[in-house]
Amino acid sequence: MAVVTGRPLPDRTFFRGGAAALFWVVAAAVPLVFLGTFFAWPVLTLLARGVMTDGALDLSGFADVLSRDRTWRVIGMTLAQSAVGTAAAVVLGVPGAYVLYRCRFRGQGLVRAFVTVPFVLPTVVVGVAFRALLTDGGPLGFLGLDGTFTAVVLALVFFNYAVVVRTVGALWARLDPRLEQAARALGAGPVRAFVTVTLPALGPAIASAASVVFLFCATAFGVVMVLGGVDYGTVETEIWVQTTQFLDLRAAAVLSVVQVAVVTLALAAATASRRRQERALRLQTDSLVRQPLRLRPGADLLPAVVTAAVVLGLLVTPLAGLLVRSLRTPAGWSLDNYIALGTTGGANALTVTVWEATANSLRAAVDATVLAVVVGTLVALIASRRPRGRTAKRAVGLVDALFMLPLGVSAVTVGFGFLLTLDTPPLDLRTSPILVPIAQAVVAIPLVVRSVLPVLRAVDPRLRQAAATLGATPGRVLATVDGPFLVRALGLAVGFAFAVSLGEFGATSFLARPDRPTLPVVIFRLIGRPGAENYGMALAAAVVLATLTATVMGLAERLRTREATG
Amino acid sequence: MTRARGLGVHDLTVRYGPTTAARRVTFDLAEGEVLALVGPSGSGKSSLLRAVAGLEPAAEGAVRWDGQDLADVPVHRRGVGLLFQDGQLFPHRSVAGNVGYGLTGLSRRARASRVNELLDLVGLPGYGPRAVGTLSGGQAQRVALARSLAPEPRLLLLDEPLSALDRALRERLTGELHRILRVSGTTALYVTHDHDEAFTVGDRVAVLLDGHLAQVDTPAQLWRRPVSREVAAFLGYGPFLPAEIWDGLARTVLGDVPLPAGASTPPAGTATGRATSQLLVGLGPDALQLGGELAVPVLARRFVRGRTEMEVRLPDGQVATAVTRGAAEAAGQVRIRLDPGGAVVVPA
Repeated sequence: MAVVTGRPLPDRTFFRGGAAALFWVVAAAVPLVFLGTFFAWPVLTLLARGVMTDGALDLSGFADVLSRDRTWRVIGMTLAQSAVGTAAAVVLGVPGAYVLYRCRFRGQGLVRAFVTVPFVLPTVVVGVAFRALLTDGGPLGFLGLDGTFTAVVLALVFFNYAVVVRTVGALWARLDPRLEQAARALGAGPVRAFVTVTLPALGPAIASAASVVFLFCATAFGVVMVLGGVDYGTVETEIWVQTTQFLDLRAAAVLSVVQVAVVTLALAAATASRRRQERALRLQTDSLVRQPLRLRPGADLLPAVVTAAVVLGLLVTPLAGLLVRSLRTPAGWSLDNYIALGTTGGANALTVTVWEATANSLRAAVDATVLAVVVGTLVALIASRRPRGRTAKRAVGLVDALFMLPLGVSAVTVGFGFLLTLDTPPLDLRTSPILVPIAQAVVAIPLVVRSVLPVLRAVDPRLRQAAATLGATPGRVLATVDGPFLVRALGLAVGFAFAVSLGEFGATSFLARPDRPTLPVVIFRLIGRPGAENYGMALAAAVVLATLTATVMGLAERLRTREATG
Repeated sequence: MTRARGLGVHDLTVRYGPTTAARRVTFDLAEGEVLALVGPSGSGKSSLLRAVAGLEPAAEGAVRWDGQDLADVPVHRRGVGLLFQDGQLFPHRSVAGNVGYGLTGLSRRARASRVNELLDLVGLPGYGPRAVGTLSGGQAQRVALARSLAPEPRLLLLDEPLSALDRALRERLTGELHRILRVSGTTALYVTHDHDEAFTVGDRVAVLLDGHLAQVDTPAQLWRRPVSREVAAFLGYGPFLPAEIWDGLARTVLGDVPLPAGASTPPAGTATGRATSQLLVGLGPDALQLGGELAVPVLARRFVRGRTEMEVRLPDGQVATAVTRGAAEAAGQVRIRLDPGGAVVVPA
């Protein structure tokens, strides 16, 4: 009987035996305790601030905050930025997915790798890069886009283009081309075949990508802080403003509740569409049929032109601009901005030199990566099991959903929550240098899970069963069957975790102690200070941060194999 | 309760949620014997196999080895090998790495020599260092077979091991599997939907229909004496003609078929009289030959493997196939006769 397709067979070999059971209990307990302490508790405490007064439910804070014009302006701005940003990313990203994943041409691998770079770039770097480009006197200053809605949206698209291209492209590459060929043979033109056959097949991937992008846009912090300023503030930046500028914790908490609600909706939509996609994917063959790019009108010319315009205009230009501007000083071309990284800036803008901040960042990123990879891998291991029992099946599904939440809850909320909860013994971590890595790990865990889980899920349960029938104990099955897949996925997971930690700004801006700032914090402080020297240093520091992040991701990509794609 | 040595499956019921895949199945499998478990798709064969392997729990009944209940023995301690339809080779290991996976507790040298021995057995000498991805479908299945045999499982379960291969390769490997299982003296349960394959590989053949075990017999006995119309139909007999018993013969409109020796003869007194139609005669693939008394209309004809098969309409309206060697002329009518050796008698 053919059992290749359809519902995967439940995997019994893993839920038997005392030692195996103990392993899974511990494997579940570690991430639950970690995220319970460092995510659920702080965030829930923060939310409680918004709705509780003296231990009683009190919604007057909501009434108060929600009656302010400012609040509604901020919510409207958040939705507008996210909606426009998401729409633009999808409209530009789908042709990109086609060109980069369905066609083939020389140098495609390079373009694919480059397209991914913006996604892992620290938000502060992107903000600074766009600012450098659009500011008065910048190469594109004549466009008058500095500090406009358009500038913020462009930066959001810059960031999230890769999400759409990769999510949709991964599915598109595996879509059986014969389906579209069948439609063509039945008389459908290329447009009709695309709209009636290919687009519906891609639908779940597009929906999934769109909801993830919406999520990222709605919780974007660094980009909006640097580019938007007060006029284009979003819920995320407003939480920061209310907390640090107006010291109105209740308003911040109410806004966090609003944000969690918005984000939960988007996340639910993402999960639903991902589930549909995973179901659909099993029906696809893994035929990697890519046709050469045909640069003729009516063929691939339009998508190719769109993609080239996006890659050159939107992705290359800001980064090249940043690099060029960092080499400009009032005295002409020089490396002075880089030399100044060894100082604390003009008029002592900083408490430490930029190189010291870089060292802080690297140290924190190493700690955060270890935490995120250990916890994230355990979560992925659990979420990849397919137990028999209905309760166990539900529990696995719940773990999967639960650990995606940090992706949706804003880093600012997490950082703020830390300040509220982790200040009393036994967990008085306010002065501990571990606080920043922990917060960064919380932010990075969902990405670790997302890079490891698909690989583990792709392991046919019958491989484990084959190993078990050959006499392998559950431990040996885990080590010899899951292990090799895991190791390949880990390269990418480590890269993501490290890159995210390096660039993390939202939570870190709350938590980094004044004498131990990280690189993104320092960059933000530098651009906030007057003086060409400080601005130049900010640009040079942004180049350093971008280079570090890109290098880490580049190394991780080299460890990545085809199994880890998608 | 089964005391015999080897596998004993007793009243085994397997359920997937609300659906019952196998119902109260009982059979024994002696050591060194190969039992082919055959049935149409969806008849519950694979579920039964997975339950024997310990990959599915038994809803009721027991799986025993030498009389000992295996219910609490986890998969990896059952000493049961399992060969999947699509091999399931470990993609990150070489051929030798796959074959040697189950060989724990051996010295490196002993393991290498055992691996080579098995690769010789399956006809792939020298393939050890090859990457799994470079193998053809047939080679991959041979490696999977070698891997399953390596730890000398006391029982080997084969789940449609050849179904994913093309027909010519499948026919060749069927014979080879038969040889390899005999040479290695392996006790095996072989699941397939193809009765030709089952007849080639199995010492005995068990027919599973809709979750219950309809018959277990040697291939020859099964072919000559199917116990029911359903079994006969699954084996390829048909159509079925009502028959009356007359002087130890089953008498049909097409002719007489001798009752099998030892078949339940009708009570004395009716043997000479007319009995109600309690028997059916199933027509085998060669039962109807050209050149008899009865003229029947021809509905269609085709030329297959050097003989002509004609679809004809029998007097009772059923459609049957008559055969003749060589290419026959097209004709609106042919005369046919029943070859008693090509038909079986089953209870109505």
